[in-house]
Parts: sequence; structure tokens; C-alpha cells
Amino acid sequence: MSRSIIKHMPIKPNQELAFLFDDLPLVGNESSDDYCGLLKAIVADAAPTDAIGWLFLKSVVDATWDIRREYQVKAGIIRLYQKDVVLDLLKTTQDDPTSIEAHEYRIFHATNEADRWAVDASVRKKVDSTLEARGYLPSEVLARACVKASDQIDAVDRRIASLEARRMSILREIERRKDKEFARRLEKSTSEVLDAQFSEAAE
Amino acid sequence: MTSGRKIAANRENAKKSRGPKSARGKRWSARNSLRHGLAIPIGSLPEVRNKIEQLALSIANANGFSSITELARQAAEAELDLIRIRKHQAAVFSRYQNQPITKASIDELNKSLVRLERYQRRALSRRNGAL
Repeated sequence: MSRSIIKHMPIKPNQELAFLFDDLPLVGNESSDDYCGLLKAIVADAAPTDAIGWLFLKSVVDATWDIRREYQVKAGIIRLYQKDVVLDLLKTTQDDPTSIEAHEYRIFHATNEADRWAVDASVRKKVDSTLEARGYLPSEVLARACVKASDQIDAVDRRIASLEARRMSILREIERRKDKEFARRLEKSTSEVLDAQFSEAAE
Repeated sequence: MTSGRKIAANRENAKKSRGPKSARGKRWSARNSLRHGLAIPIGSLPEVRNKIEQLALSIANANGFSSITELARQAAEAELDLIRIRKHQAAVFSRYQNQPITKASIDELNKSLVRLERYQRRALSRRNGAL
């Protein structure tokens, strides 16, 4: 793994440091191409010159990668709770809640519809319009999901804050070592990556 | 269902046990309380010793020394520790992603990561201090 990653780097670390890039700790559907792309971009911008520069660079890249991963975890949590909220709201959409049909819908069909809402765009559109007719806008569904998932989201947010703090502390450490220019380049390139990730998540 | 008498007899017999006798049994029982192994000092693991020396020399060179210094070795050990912790973290995330996301799986992920973060913070601070 390390050989192929290092081969594509615009600036290469010494042979003795190559093992740092062995066994990239990727999970699930994370692609090594994406990680390499991030690494290459930051190496090109920051241009480390010695072993310590490479260690700092790798820490910053890893923290940046972990922050991206945590945003995805957070999105997954919100999606799960949104489905819960949709299910709760769907159960209230029957005109006559005491009718047999309403009971039947709540027991047998609402869960199925909420499940399909999560994966099928056409069902989502239909369910969203049903809920909107009852005064529940998608933004309200999202807000209710965030409130319901607040404990779990808080845990992810704390980890993101801690990773951000770690990234900044490494940059300060580089500055302290009188390599302000390296710290500035590293800060700029990783911030750009995170800003792009944040914009994607917001969309 | 095991009877109370049988349980008491088993406990009495177990008290007489002097532990595993075979090498395999001893190896096995040595790992009884092992959870993730992150508390084991990385310098004591023979499989990473070469890497520690290699990295320590590179760090010492970057600081203008021609041979390994104690601080360079500490920094190298902490860096290897960080790599080890990241592998565990990846395993935790993989377990989470390989199952349907539920509230229980999110709680489990959060708990496991809190435990690992403590090790990570310490290793990072050790490394930065030594660098």
C-alpha cells in the first residue's frame, strides 16, 4: 500500500519513513484513492522537508480525514432519527384517527412507508407532501430529528471539536518550532478540504 | 440447570487448580484480561522495535543529531502508538458500519471511541512533548 501511495506523491518522504503510510486505516466504503488524493494535495501545498515535518503532516491529514468521517457518522445518525420522526408523524396523518383504517395504517403500513421514505426518492416526495399538508415541513422533521438524537450528536460533535483542537495544536506546535510558513500552508490546505466537506454536507 | 451442590463442588475444585500447565494454556490464559492491548508499552513489542529505531534515527537527524537520542526514541514510540490506536479505531468504525445503524450501535460506537480517545490524547501529547 505504502509504495503505491508514495509513488504518486509530489514530494516523497525518505525510505525510512515509508512505513508511516502502510496499512491506511480506512473503514467501510472509504476509498484509498480519496485518502491519497487528500494526502497528495496537502503534501503538494505543505512540502515537508524533514522527518518531523512528515510526522506533523500525517497527523494533520489523519485528523482532517477523521473529521470527514465523523461528519458522515453524524449524517447517518440524523438520517436514522429523521426516519423515526417521519414514522411518528405519519401515524398522526389519518383524518379519523379512531377509524379501523387509521389503526391498520399505524400498525401495518406506517413503518413500511417510513422505511421506504428513507431509501426511495419518489416515496420521500409523496410522504413529504403528505406531512407538509399537515404543517410539518422537512425543516421541522430535521429539527425534531436533531432534538431526538441530541445525545448522540453531542458525542460526535465533541469528537469533531477534539479533532479540530488536535489539528490546531499540531499547527501551533509547528509554529513553535519556528516553521511558521509550513504551519500556514498546512492550515490553509486542510481548512480548504474541511470547508469543501462542510459545504457538501450542508447541501 | 446446574444444581447448587454441583456449583459449590465445582468452585471447591477450582480453588485447588494451579492454573494452566501446557504452554498453549498459559499463552491463552495470559490473554484473559486483554481487551485491546493499548496499555501495553509499544516499545516492548518485538514486531515494531525496528520501526521505532528507524523512525527515532530520522527524528534525531531532523533535530541535528547523528545518533538516536532518548527524546527521539520517545517521540518514535508515541508515533507508533498513534498508528496502533488508529488501527483499533478503524476496527471500531468497521464494526459499526458493517451492521445496520441502530440507536444501540451508535451508543456502542460512542462508548468505544471515548475509551480510545484517552489513549490517543496521551500518545499525541507524549509525541509532541518529545519532538
